[in-house]
Amino acid sequence: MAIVWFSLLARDLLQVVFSGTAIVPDFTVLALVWIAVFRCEDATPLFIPAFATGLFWDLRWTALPGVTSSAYILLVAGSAWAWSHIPPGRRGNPILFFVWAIAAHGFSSFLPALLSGHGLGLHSPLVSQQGMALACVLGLTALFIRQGRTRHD
Amino acid sequence: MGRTGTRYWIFFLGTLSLSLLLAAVSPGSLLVDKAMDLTGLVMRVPEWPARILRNAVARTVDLAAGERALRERIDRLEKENLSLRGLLQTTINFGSGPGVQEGHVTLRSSAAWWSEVRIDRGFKDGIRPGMGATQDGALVGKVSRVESNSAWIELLTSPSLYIPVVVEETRDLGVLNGEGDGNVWLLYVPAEKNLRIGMNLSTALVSEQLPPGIPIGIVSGIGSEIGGYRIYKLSLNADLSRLYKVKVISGGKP
Repeated sequence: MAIVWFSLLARDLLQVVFSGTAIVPDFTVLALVWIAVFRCEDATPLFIPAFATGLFWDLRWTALPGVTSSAYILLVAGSAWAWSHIPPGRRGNPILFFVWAIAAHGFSSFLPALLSGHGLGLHSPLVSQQGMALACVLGLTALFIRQGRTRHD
Repeated sequence: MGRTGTRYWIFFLGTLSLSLLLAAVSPGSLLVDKAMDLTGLVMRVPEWPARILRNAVARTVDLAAGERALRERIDRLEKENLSLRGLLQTTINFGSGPGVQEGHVTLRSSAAWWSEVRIDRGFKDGIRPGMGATQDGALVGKVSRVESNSAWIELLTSPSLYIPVVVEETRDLGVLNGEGDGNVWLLYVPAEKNLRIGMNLSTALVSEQLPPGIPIGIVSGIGSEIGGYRIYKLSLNADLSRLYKVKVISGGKP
């Protein structure tokens, strides 16, 4: 679970560095999805860290406490539910993981903007954030493939 | 449903309902504002290296582009300009003389998007309530409250901020007020004055903290007449959609 807190700290520090320039990808949601996928049979221990990290992010950056944490909790539950309903033989499918991770990232990024009505549009920094997230998710998918092979071996 | 299943639903629904409850009650809550300030204060320590890095990168880029010298010159000219404005108004006593404090915007709540922003300069840096804040020389708002390391600036678009302004071309006085949705209006101008679109507005003599003559914007539309007074729509010179840094005019008397 330390990886969730580490990802939050990394995101926070990078956001300070890039403040006024870009919105950094949401590493925390990627970490939560990663753990939820591998712990899909019992994701209960993930809810408290998802709530706490989301709330922390809201207090530090979005000023909408509860929105990011709601998104994180829903994504943890959704990821665990979806993966537990996939036949065990197909859970290692990297395309499925890639699509799910991108969708989860988009959901958590756009939810505060959708609720507040600000920061939407084609030229929004959120769009460039999704571009950077794409690179991160590709890297994570590579790790997912490696992890799958290791488990298989 | 087994014990594990029950536990799962308790944690899931418990954390989700708590989050949704927070999201529902937090907008405008003073307690949440304090919690956000506290989070920012706590994170100053671990974020310190990141801020150093950001400032170092910014300085390097400025140096490479030769922008630093230009900025210093603009700062000097702005300071001189403020002093001259103060001298022109003989009734104004600017104490130790106006200066500028540059601050980065650290928080802009979506719930109060057109009302206020928080900057990373506060009481310790000499910021006091009532001081004006500018972006590229144009007024963006006034300092509304100050913490030790941060300050909140009420934006011109805020519905609770009223700024006396003067029309440069005609010297007519009026009051600027925001609508809370990004629109700004000029109020209390007699209907017979017939201001024209494109006329410039700047601050009128308000207090010893907000010097007169700071550019604000232009008349961009003519509104309706109410009780012998006509309202005018304004376009601000400052770009509030790209508000990352502000300069607070310090040094005046409250």
